[in-house]
Formats: sequence, structure tokens, C-alpha cells
Amino acid sequence: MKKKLYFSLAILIAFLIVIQLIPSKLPVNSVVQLPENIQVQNASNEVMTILKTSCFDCHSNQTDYRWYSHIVPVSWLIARDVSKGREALNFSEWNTYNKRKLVRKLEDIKEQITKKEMPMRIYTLIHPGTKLNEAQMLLITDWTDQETKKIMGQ
Amino acid sequence: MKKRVVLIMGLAIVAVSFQCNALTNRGSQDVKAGTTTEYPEAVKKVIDSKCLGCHSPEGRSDKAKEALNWTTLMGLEKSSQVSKLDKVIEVLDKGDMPPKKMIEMHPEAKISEADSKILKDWAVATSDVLMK
Repeated sequence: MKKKLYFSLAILIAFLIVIQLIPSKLPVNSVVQLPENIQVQNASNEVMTILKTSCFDCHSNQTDYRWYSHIVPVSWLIARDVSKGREALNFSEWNTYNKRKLVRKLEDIKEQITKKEMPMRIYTLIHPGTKLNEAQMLLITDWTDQETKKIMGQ
Repeated sequence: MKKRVVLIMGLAIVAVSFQCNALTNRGSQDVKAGTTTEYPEAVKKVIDSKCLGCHSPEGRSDKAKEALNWTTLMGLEKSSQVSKLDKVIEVLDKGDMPPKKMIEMHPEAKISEADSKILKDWAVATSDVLMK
């Protein structure tokens, strides 16, 4: 019985070692633009701090890949989330969005924050201090409202 | 036993009538004129023939209806209209709509380059006006 258990364990470990050879394709970080250089128009320092702490890992070209990010199969999940996140909203590219796209992204941010769908639960569980409290949520939604009004010329 | 048979038959009848209903709705997308009358004629023609099958209250998929409903779009807040129009432009640019699966089953659902341009040009112009 014990032998069987050891054998299964050995197989599992061998399997985990072998799959490390499969590339995980983690999205590449920008070497030119550092997180502190990411400019989000009209975002106050407080808003920028929240974005950096709770959003930039998936929504900028400056993901802070922790040690476990490179271990398969965790790396596959992270690669998927980061590339999907960057495609949906990328603060590194914020200044390249046209007015129409900005309005849409601002509306999306507000909706995701209000519905508490972002930051993702799995992310806030693993990264303490990234979950937004009510005051932080209000700061973000105030900023999205004001920016939207400005762009809409209201 | 008899009760069970009656129940199964009853369920079968309900299922069939649902199917029939869905089929009738599918065919009636052009008849629903009036719901998109606020759009310019050329744009309306494209919306009615290529989008309304899913993106209307009678649409087939809840996901599609929630994402965009052409019959109520112009009543939304201005910023939400711009937001939806930006998404319309993006999916047309990427060729993501109508969905590939839909086109495989109904090749006539494919949107032509010319129709896509009509819709896109209108969406760009409309959002520009809304943002003034």
C-alpha cells in the first residue's frame, strides 16, 4: 500500500518536473516604461496608488511576476489572465486611447468596481492589500465620473 | 404509469411549441420594423438584417441582448451610447460580429465590407456628435 503511494507520488513529481519544460508564454513587460512612468490622465496621486497596487499587475505592461508566476501550471493561468487583462484595459496604453475608447474604458472600470468584479477574488486572496475598500472604490468611481464628464463636454 | 406518459407527452408538446416559437421569431426580424426607426435608412437596413436577430428584445441570446440592444441604444445616457458605439466599431474592425459560428450555420448572416463600413462610419460620426 505504502509502496503504491510512493510510486504515485514519484510519478506526480516527475510529471510536474517535465511540464516545467513547456513554455508558459507570460506576457512580456515593457523595459522602456516603468510603473512610475505610467501616466493616467487626470488621476490624482491617491487614484494612481490604487491603480498601481490593485490593477497594474494585469492591466499594464508592468506585471510584477512573483516567483510562483514562473512555475507551470500556475504560470499558464497567470499568462492567460494577464494577456486577457491587458487586452481589455491597459494603463500603459491609456494615453493612446482616443476619446471614444476612454469613455468606454472609464465606464467599464466603474461597472467592474461597483459590481466588485475587479480586482478578481483569486488575485486579492493571494495578494493581501489589493482588495478595495469602500473609500477606495469611491475614489475610483469619482475619478471615472469626472473624467467621463470632461470628455463628454458636460 | 399513465400519468407519467401524459406528463412526458405534455412536456414534449411544450418543447415543440417553444421550438416553433423560436423559428417564427427568427423569421420575423425584418417585420419588427419601427423599433429601429431612429437610425438613418441605410444604417437601419444593416442593423435590421445583420444585428437585430440577436441584439434586440426578441434576440436569441441573453448575452447578446445584455451587451447591446439596438432598440433602446439611443435612449441610453450619452456616455453609455458612446461606449456601446465604440464596442460596435471594435467588433466590426476585428470582424468578430456576426459571430463565426452564426455565419457557419447561416452564411447569409455575414456582413459585407460595404455594410460594415456604413455601420462603422455612422457609429464614428454619431459618437463624435455625442462627445461635442
